[in-house]
Amino acid sequence: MIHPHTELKFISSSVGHGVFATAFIPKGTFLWVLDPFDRILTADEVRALPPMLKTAVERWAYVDPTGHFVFCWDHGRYMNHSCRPTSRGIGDAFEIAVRDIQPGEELSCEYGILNIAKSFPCACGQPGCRGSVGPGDLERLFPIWDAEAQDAFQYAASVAQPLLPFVKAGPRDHAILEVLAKGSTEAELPSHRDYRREGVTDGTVEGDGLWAIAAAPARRPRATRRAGAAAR
Amino acid sequence: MIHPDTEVRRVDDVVGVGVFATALIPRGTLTWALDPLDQLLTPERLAPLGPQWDTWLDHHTYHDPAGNRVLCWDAGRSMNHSCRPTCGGSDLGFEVALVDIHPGEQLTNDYGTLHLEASEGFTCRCGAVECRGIVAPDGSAWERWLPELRDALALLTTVPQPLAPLVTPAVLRAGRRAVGLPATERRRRLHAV
Repeated sequence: MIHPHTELKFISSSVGHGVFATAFIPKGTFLWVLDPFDRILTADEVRALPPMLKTAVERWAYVDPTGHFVFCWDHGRYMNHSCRPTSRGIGDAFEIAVRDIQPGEELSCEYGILNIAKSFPCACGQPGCRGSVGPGDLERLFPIWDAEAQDAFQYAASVAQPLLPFVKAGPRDHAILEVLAKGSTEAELPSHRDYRREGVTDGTVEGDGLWAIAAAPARRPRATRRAGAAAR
Repeated sequence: MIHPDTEVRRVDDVVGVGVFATALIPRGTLTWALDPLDQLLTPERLAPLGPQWDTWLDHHTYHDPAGNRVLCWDAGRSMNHSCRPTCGGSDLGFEVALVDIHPGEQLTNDYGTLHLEASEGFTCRCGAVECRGIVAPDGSAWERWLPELRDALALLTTVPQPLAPLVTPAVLRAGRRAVGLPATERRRRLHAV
């Protein structure tokens, strides 16, 4: 679920939509949490969707460490990438604001953490823009991302957290919730590195979307027939 | 999924947003189809949710005839009520344009057909000549729109249908048959759908 003080706005036909703050949101606020209505789909389930829906999932879902597609039910799914994002991920279920966000400012996140299947050119225009965002960025940059998240988390207990009642915590998130329930922020957060899905390397996946799934493996009966024909 | 020639626009602070046509959607066009990304929320699935979800459920879901709530994944969930709706049929698993919907006009439903609970009635400000003033649980809402629905369904094959890939012929057939049935029989059939 995306923070209530946000709205969806159309940016341009090349970028599509984006999520914008409608009020001041202080550093340390959870901008998004995973909730029970965000749809979790296996690659097979995505593959079985009618083409017009498969396109939507490939465009607006992200991939979690287990290889599942997470398709947010609300406009959280339209958050764009930035090389200097307004939030960092924590655990499986949180995006935390790493700086104060002003009304009208676009909310953004780091796609390099989201198990993208291939690189894409970035034109976020932020200082330090990497120009290209790829699956290998995580391994190189996770210490910076971890440090930003840890810094922002110090403020998590002292700002309003309207999304906390709605979170669907994963195994790595319970410790965070317990600490916050005590009004504390004394916790060592899970590393971004743990969010990496094994086997995601640049260029191994066919398809148009950043999270496009590989084509289904060739069907066995057909291969058998071919083998038989060759033998004859 | 909602018809592709639509967009969500802010109406005002009271109504919030609504779904507007961006191109002509002729009468008889499928305007919405229940699809695999829409979520059927059974009473069992909703039972563990705390009271913090009550407002959310009211805002974003509707009731199906079998006692579930339905959460549409896209702008379908932002369709507003009108006492003179431009779309109808939700219980059939799809909706159809009851009139020609021109660019800039809103896609609307009669919420009376959406199995409102007693607590979900509201004061209507749709502005239609037929406006009932108060929209409340309404057993006769379906009957009210049956003639329009039948006429619109008769046009199904005469207009472009971008949502056709999401509606199986069996669902379409069942829907067309259901609108010709007496009320009790129709309700029984729709539960089966």
